[in-house]
Amino acid sequence: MNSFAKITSGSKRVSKRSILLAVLAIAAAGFGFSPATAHHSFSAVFDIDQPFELEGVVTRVEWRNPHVWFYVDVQVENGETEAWAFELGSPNALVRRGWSHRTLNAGDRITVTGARARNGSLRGAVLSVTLPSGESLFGAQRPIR
Amino acid sequence: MRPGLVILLMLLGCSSSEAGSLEGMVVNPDGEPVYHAPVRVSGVDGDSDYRTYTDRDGRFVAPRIAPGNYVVEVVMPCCRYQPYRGTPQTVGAADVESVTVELAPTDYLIALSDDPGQLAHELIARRALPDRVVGRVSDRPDFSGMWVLEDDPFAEDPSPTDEARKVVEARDPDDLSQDLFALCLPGELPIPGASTPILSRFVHTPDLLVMLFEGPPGFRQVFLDGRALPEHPNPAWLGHSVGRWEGDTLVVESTGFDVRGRIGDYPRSEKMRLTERYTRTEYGMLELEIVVDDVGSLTEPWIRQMHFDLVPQEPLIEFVCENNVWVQAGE
Repeated sequence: MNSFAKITSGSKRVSKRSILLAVLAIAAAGFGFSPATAHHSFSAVFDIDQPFELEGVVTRVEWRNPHVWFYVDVQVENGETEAWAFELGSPNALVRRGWSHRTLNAGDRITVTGARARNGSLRGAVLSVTLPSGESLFGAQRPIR
Repeated sequence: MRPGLVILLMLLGCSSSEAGSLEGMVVNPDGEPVYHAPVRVSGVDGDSDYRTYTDRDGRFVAPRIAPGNYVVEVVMPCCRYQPYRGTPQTVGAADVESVTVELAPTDYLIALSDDPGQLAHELIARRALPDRVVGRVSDRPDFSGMWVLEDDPFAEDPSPTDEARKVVEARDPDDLSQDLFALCLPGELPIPGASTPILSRFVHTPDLLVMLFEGPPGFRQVFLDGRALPEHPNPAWLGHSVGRWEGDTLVVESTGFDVRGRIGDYPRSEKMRLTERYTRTEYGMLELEIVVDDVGSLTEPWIRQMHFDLVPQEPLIEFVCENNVWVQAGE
């Protein structure tokens, strides 16, 4: 508790009403994330309204900054194979959340959910990965279904 | 504005028998308490502004505030939750008003683990602070340590000149070939960062404070040996810095900035000058007031209140920026 809490404890007559505030946040104009840590927007490249869930085999992993990329061969309904590219955050961030450069390996069969590139290319921003072990790794957003 | 000063201003004209308080709890969409959530309680008429953080139980208190109408705001670091701004609450004399803030999930698209602000929050939550007092270097507080930067969540936007505004309006927001981060170029002071939590190892010696960090260019140096700022500096993305002590507060002045850098989204001019005031208010916290003054780009100085949290268990990890594929692919 912050240092000022002690001042308030039991020191005055209390008239107390509990108010449950609205659930949904109001993002007021000009009230967003601070520009000092403004981050490039994935929305410029990827479209949250084009969700996907794909299963395939990892062919390559680029464990590099500022973004990890991995590549997956996905077999589609007509039997053809599509070569997809997926983007994650930085290795520096992933390592701090328990990933390593060995978490994904060529030959792994995985499931990936995310948002597709706006230009329709076979690229996506990853929201979750399900590993061969069955373990699912999520980001800040839950997978889009 | 420091919390103590804010409290003082709130008490002026308000006796102890008249003061009320506003307390509350911040929870996530699953109903779990949120630790270290930045909270602002401000008067609707703009004459008071109290800032604090929630504790491990998700609770906060704005104590001894004058009767009136207040708004509670919570802005978590990017990118798990939406910013929250409540409806005005009336605090009467001697009242204790209670609120519960339920954060909504973000609608901001980010890739898995590309949420440096949220990760910084997790590092702070899992840190273990040793039971020590702050050391001294030449009889000044020792700033050495591994720190993670928390930006001012309630900062006002910069106030640009008309010329600076036009530069931004002329940019195509989807043209990443002009995006400094996408080009692996340095971000903003005090410590550039983007994809990772903004971690910095401060190495404090009597004549020099070195800040090591993960993004380009990897270091800042603040000279403490009494030298003056250079008269004809070689333009530098992070400028040239000298520091002097005012009691236990280190005042850092910086000039000589490369004009290709930014002030938020706005361009810099050669007139840009930075003033930082660092104060180690407790063992685990370093407070920073940062003022960007650029008469060539801003109509008034841009002021933010940031702070660093000590995270002694975290190492720096090498960061070589090499594969911003969007830019390479011509997106």
